[in-house]
Amino acid sequence: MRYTRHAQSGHAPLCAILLVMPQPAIQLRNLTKSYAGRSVVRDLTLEISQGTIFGFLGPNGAGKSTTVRMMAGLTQPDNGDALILGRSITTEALAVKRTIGAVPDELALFEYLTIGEHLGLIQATFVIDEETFRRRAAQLLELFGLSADSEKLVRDCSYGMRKKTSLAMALLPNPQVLILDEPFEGLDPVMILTLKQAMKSAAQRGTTIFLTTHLLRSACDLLDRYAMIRDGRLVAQGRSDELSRAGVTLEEAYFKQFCAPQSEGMEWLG
Amino acid sequence: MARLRALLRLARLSDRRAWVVKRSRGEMEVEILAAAAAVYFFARQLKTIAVAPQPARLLAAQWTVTILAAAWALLPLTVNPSIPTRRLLIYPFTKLERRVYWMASILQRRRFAAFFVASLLTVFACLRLPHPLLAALRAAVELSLAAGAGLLLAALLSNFQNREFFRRKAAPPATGQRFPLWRKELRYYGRTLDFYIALIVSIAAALSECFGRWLTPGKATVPFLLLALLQMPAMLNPFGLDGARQIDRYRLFPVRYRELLEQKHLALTTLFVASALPLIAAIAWKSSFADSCSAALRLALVMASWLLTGLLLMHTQAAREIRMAMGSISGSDMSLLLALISAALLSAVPLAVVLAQPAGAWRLLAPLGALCVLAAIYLLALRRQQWPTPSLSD
Repeated sequence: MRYTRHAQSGHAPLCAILLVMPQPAIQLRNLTKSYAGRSVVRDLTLEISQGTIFGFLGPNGAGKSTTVRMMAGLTQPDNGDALILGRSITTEALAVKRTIGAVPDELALFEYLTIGEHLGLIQATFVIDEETFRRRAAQLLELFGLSADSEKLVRDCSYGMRKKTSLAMALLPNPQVLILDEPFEGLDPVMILTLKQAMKSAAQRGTTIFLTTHLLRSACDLLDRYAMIRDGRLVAQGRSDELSRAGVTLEEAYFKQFCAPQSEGMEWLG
Repeated sequence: MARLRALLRLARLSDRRAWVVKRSRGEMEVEILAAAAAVYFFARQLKTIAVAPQPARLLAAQWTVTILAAAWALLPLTVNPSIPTRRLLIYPFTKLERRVYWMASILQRRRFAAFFVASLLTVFACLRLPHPLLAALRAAVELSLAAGAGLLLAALLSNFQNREFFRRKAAPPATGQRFPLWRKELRYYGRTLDFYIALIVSIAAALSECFGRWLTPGKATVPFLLLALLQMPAMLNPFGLDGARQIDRYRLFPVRYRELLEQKHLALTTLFVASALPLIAAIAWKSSFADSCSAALRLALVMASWLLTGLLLMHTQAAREIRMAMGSISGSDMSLLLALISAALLSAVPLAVVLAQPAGAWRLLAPLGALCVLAAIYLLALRRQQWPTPSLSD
């Protein structure tokens, strides 16, 4: 665990106290991104401490995936920075990538490689020793129910299997920070439960998880903290237990923020 | 048919937009110049067929028909429909409609119209030859056969590449093995049409060498250059087989861009050597040990020149636009200007060594020296490589 030491200046040096403050695992500082003159993410500032499961919520096109891409080092921010475990993604991308596991929105898999070969690529690029790799790969394939399909080409896999492959790739190096774009989308209910349990136990051991999701019911008992974004701006954030104490579910809080549009005039449908 | 017409209209619109984008980037001027040059030389050929003395007339007619036949044969292999036929599978189109769409996507290309007009003019020009009707009929039949052969080859390749054995066993497995990135690239590049065409050319050259010794080390440079040129698109656009998603995966790896490039170049070099093996084996069989060593050195020189040319041109917009397809009937599609520039750069040093006609010890020292210089420049250039698009630093 990394710490920042803040020496307290004062008149009694013998009594000087070193305050040891745990550093946030993820810091987003004025993160900004525009595409073709349209702001997608505007001045986004967030701090997420270690071991937190953080939900980043919002409607389609709000800027969630762009934020994830900037955090994972896939897109260069126009302004601002993302610090992962104190390291800047814009200036120390390689060092940051060694500490994160990411599932981007489009999964980023190679059509003509098998599921097992994808895990092999992670072993080579993250330099995992053979014994550890074999043990972890077997456990992950078992966890995601992919053991029987490890020799299947990704192009022959269903969307759910691809998602699970991408998740297994993110988990394999045992990263300190997980950045997951829609991890539950395309998974069956049993797999969602399994994944949630795996995330909880990882967070208890200090892994920080940043995830986006539209499946609020699945996420409500998982998240420690949440933030909501609309048109690239942060519109709400808080702790899940505060919502529970107020007797409000995550879903209700979400709908309060983003009213559902009415489908009037669509009587022809069906 | 109305649905198909709508689809073709959309495909035409997509083509037109791509053309407008190219024109706005100023990339069309060179293409137009090249087309104008082609029209000029074609007109000269027609004039020769019509008015020149008889032997020149016959020769010009033969050349024109041969070049046009080659163009017809390659047309179906170099046309990718704007809306891929695989995409049509999710819409209610019958198999017949999908085939008609593929044929129509070839027929509505400007290239098709140009080849058609050129062929008609050539057939009419052949009426000026001795036995006019027979000559015109022969030209028409030859051109039709070439077009038919192209279509047949495209259909056969499509069928062949969709077979399971080709999809799986043509490439080594990458799991639990060393160098998985290199093996991944080997699988990908090993399924492009370019490699197989290079292999066929190499086998043909090897067979001709076996039947009659003609490849001195100097002359062997020419088929080596041809092999390099055939496999140049992958070198110019090494990420051409990876879509945006796959490039995302590369970027997620904690690996430098140049390390990725090294693996890609290593895989391409492996395939290049594999494609040259029949030729090298034939030379080794028919020539002395010294000549074989000299030929191998020239192969290495061509390879170094090929790697360096790819590295120098790969960041140009034209190189990034090369369309490469794995498991489709089309080979890669390179613009005429880029092909000319890369051919000139590729062949400059190896041909200079041939034309200098070194004798004695220089027969080995000259290509060796050139190889060392090219390899040094290549390694220095490789060290400086960064992600080309705006991205995060390593």
